[in-house]
Amino acid sequence: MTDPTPRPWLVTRRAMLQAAGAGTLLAWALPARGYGSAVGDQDMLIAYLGLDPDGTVVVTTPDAEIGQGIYTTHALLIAEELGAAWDRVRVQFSGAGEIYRNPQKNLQATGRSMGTSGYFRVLREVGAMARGQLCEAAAARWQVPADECDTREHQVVHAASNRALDFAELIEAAVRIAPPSEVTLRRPEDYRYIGRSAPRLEIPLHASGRSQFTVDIQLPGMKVATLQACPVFGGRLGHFDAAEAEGMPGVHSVHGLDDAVAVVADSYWEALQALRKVRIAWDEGDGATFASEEHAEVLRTLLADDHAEVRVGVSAGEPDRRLAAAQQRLEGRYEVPYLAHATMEPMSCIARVADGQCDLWSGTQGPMHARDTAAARAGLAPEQVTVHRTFSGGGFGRRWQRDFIDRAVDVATRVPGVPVKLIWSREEDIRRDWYRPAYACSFAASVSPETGIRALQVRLAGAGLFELNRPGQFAPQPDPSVMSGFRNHPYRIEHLHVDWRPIRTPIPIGVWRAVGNSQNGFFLESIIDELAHAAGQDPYAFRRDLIDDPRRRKVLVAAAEAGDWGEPLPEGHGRGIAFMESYGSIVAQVAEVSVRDRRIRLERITCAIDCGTAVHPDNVKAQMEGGIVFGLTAMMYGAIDIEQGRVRQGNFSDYPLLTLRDMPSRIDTVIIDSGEQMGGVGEPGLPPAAPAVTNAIFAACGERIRALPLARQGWRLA
Amino acid sequence: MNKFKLTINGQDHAVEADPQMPLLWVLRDRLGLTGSKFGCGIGVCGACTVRMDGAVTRSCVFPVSACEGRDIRTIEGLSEAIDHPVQRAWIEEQVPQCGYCQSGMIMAAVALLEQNPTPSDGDIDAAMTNLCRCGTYPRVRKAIHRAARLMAEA
Repeated sequence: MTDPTPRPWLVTRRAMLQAAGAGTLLAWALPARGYGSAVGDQDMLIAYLGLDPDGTVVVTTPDAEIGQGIYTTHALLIAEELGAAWDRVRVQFSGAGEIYRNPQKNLQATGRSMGTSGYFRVLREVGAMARGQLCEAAAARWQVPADECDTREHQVVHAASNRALDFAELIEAAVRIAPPSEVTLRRPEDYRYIGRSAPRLEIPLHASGRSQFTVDIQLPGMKVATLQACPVFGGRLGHFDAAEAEGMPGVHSVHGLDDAVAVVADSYWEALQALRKVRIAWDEGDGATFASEEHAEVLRTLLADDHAEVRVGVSAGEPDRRLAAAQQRLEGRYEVPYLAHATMEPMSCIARVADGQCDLWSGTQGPMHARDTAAARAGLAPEQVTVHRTFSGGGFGRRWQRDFIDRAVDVATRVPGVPVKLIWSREEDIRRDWYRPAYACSFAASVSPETGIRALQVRLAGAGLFELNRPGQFAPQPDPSVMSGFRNHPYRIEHLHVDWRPIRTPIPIGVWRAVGNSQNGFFLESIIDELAHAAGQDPYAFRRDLIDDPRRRKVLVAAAEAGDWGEPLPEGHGRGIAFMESYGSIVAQVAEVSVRDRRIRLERITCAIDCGTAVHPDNVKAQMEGGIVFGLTAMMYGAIDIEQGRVRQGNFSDYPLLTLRDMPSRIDTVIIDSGEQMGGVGEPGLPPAAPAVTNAIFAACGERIRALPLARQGWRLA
Repeated sequence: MNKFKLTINGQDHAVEADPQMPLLWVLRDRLGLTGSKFGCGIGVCGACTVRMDGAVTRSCVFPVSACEGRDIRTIEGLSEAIDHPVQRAWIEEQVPQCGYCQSGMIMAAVALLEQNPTPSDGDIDAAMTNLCRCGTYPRVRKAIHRAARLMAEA
């Protein structure tokens, strides 16, 4: 378990402040650099960096480690400037706190693929400040100017006199020196960590079973709980009879919550056995009439409904007039279903409430709002809540939600003083998610071989997840999740109209890896592919010729070249290409598939990405691989069906994932280091994956895939 | 509640549990061995994979009453210094992402390589049915080939 306990650096500083005069105190109050009005440099240093007496550098990451590798990336940013040796760097998770806000979004939150770009400057400055202190301490000892000293491999070195001192020997003196008010960051040509791929620090922990996820934390006197929530969204707990359950072995207590029943026991399994014996009557409410199949039909209707509420996201030229005048119109409709996150670690949180204090242990992606929601549930002030963060067994946006925190606090408040580890069953996890919303999309277009896309009109219908609680909040603008990819597409389309037809849904919807890009990548890149074929052009050449911006064109070309676009293929094989820019990164992918009797084999996938600067290139590749597999799982299998307000799926048996045997023989990633503004990597690999493959299926057999998942259309993986 | 004597990673443990309690929860909630993970509870995902008398076993659906007298091996017993050839290969190929499924993956890979020291891609495909939501599969495959080489060199 990692804990936000201050490191000795802070302890030493506190001792020093006690001994210090007013003049010294003033020296700590250095000007903030825009991290927040009340935050000074010294506070930043303490928040993010500690040095143990043996010289071990302890980096505090403000982000959740959900598989994106931020644990390592944050450490290497500090190590770079500090001049640390990699084998003497350790990482801990921060708690919740304003000082940990990501400067790019002014919020401490793991999401929108901003963990690296957001903290890129802050963490390097922190490392550089500490370097300044260490250099000054060494310089004083050697009686040389501090600016002649530098750090390297955990030593301060003075090249002119060929002297070196280990950090461990300098800590005591260094902490008595105020950090420099101005720091000079290392030049890119001097980088020793950035742009290289230091072994990821969390990997030995994961490879030995020693990494502690929330479900692994053990506390004195702890109990384990599980729960059953009302199977219908919006429903409430009516009444329940727990007489039999309460007498079962290992059971501590049974509790009725607003919309759930929870059993507290000595073990998860005992809690689960007892839960099955609780007789529960639900007050299902209005939600019990909802059916996703009907919802899909409503979305189709909305696309054609002239009286529907329409919010225009993109309006350029006169696509209507041009389409009316076109001799040939191309039309089509696309659909995607609701999707669950299905993180491998089911939702879990440990809470202990006692004596005006609440402690949480969680892999939350939003520690500040986890803290605040826990405070509200427990009737405490936010400062009475301590968030201890753990590794997260997958996030993908699911651990941004608060429900798994709320439920744990609700149970813990009923058993004061007892730490309760609430673990959801897989069934609860899948049936009580915040789903990627179902969407429908229609298009009408006109193309010609000479002029490319003459006009394109796109309609989107679905629920807006950012205005879930306040419908119409962004009107007349569309919900911010809706136009992803349509506003920042790279193509030269003079006459383009994209609108959104909102619908309300009683189904909880939320951020799911790549959010709106996850469906829009499939919609837009399938449409572009249809237009290329209609224009009688090669889909790659068609795209390339429509992209004016050299940086974006370069990514497309890189993917095509690395993916051997145009090389001869065996019978039954096909290649597809797709492009999508999201979270500040530009990605193109080429997929090669073979198709026979509606059986598909993923043969090879090639990815090109320009994320500005690849801070840890191997991790960028890992994230591309992960995003591709995530996207292709959704393409092949992903579907949440709701009948009578109940989610039909409940485990990996009916919400399947791709497996190792489904993998292509190669997934290769080409990184283009443009040095442009840094983008993210956790999400951008996903959006082009499905359309690259479905476009390849079209190339292989001539069948256009317009609805996902493929398994629903009778396709199988070979 | 019954008493059971279990041999886990070469050490004897006495536990009290319902005979139907799956081994996974005995390991995790009775003995504090949390390396084996809970993912599905129905033996599908493989996060709970342990070895019993050498065989790959999904411990979330394996009752403790059937475990007595068996040689149970979990990720915790693989190596002290995280230097089992499979762990070394996992580190060298930088396999894990979130890490949650990896104990089970590694235990399945160890079992595969003991039975088949030079598995082909097809052998790996057939043996490795564990689920990974992060998509580490391509690296799992590479790491198993690398582990096979490391074991051959040893």
